[in-house]
Amino acid sequence: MEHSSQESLMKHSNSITYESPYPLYSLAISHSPYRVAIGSFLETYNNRVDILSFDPDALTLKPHLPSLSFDHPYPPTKLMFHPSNPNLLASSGDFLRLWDLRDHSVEPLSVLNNSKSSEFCAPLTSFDWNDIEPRRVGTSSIDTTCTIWDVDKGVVETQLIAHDKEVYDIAWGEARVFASVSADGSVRIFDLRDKEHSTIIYESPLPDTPLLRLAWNKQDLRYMATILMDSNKVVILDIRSPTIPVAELERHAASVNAISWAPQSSRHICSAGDDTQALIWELPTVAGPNGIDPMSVYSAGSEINQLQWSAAVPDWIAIAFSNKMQLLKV
Amino acid sequence: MEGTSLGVRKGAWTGEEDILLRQCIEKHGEGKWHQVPLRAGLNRCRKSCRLRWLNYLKPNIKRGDFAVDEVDLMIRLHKLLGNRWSLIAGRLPGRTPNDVKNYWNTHQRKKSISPIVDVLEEKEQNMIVKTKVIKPRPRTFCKKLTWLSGKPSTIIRERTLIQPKDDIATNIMSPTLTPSENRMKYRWECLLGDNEAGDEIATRALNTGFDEELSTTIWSDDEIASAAKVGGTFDIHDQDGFSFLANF
Repeated sequence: MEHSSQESLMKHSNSITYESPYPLYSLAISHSPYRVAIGSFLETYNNRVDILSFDPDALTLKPHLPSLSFDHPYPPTKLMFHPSNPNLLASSGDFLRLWDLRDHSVEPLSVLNNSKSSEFCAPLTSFDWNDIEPRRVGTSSIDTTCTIWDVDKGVVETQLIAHDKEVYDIAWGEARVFASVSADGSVRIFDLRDKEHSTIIYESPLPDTPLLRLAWNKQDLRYMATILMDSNKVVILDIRSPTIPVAELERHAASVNAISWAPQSSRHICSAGDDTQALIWELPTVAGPNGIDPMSVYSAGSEINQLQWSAAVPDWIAIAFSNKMQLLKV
Repeated sequence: MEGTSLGVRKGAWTGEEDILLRQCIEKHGEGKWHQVPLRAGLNRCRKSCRLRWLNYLKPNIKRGDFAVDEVDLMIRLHKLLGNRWSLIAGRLPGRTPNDVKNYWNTHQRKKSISPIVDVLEEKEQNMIVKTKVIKPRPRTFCKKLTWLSGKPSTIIRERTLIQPKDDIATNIMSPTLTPSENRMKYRWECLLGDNEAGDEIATRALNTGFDEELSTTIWSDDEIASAAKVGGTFDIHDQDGFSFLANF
């Protein structure tokens, strides 16, 4: 009896599930206090963001009390906490929005709109908060541009026509260096000190296969990872050897939807996809002829749409699938 | 109006000419426009053939009036991109840059009748001036970088000797830069200049963490075998860029 109860506790201690009333897509994690923000994915104007309290000792994940849920126009394409202030949350969708998480409520701080005179807006696909220079937030848009905001002043620092087609993701490497991926199939690096040029470091093999996500290895900036539309591959790039990937991780059985480098190790990356699996990979120094196998596998109940391996809680990987958000102990 | 002094036909395309061009592209595919007049048996210049195909004959071209949502998107994109018709048309499935331009010009003429719209547009112009949108010129590296075909590093040499089976080994995470890589290093140090050179960070990262075993309760290792399938990725690299490895 004692043995079996201990076993069930073990099982619990390795994953915590939160079930939402609606399908989920975006998520973000903060520490001190440990909180998780989750965004609904409803194909209507009215969407929700819920704040959950996470207790890594009691292993609980439940709605924050008092409730810190708020309405969000359109599904948030990304949620992110301020790099050092856990009470500041940003979201992207029709615009970049900043939210102030107070004790009893969430107040909208600002809506960062680039074209105030226009009733139309080009939706934002993603954004990234610069953790070295937290006043900088970069957004990527379907209108082919990336916009660098000074969120302290609420003004545009720079807007660049970054690609020939929709920009799908953006990631900071340095205080002034960011990279983006696009439907035009390229990974480009931009340096705010030289706005006249960008550097293409990778182009998808079939002409114009869109690149959906970009993850820059924060532990070793030489490495980036990207994924292609409708592809089971995770492409690992070394910016010193542009155009040729240093590795391609091909063990997913269906499209990969999300990638995240380990926050505490330069050689580990997690990927998740439509095959319902989350795979952790250890990049070897030398790869054999048969490719690279993942070091561990987790199977979720359905297609995994989102993945975060956050420095806020490096021992936990957060995934979102259907209407569930799960924290997995690594 | 039947032709020029060179004898190349100009002006409206006839139904027969359209059929000839369509058949030629069905047979040979789109592109190589300089060969098209000869292949199709058309007395037209290559530019004329290309434009006729792209703007009128291509099968996926959408005809008819622009829908409300198409116009909405067009206005939005034009506000941001200006008269970049092919970029705008790229967002409107089936619409050609030419159709978008024609629609816009007709649409604009209608709009400029109303003075209220003019005031609004002036305002918008001011907004656009306020945030100047920059278009960086993309640079790309040539596929065969000199240092890629240079001498292999001692690290790879050692490893290959220890593991002679891995004859198609690829160096993925090099712990140190090879002398040839140092030439490239300068460039990336400039780019990533706010930081110390990557090496130190990498070493630090490798020494901390991840020695602990991953919990196997939910992260099962046995499933890996079933998830694995044969892949030949690295053969490609070997031929493509890491050709120096073939020296072993």
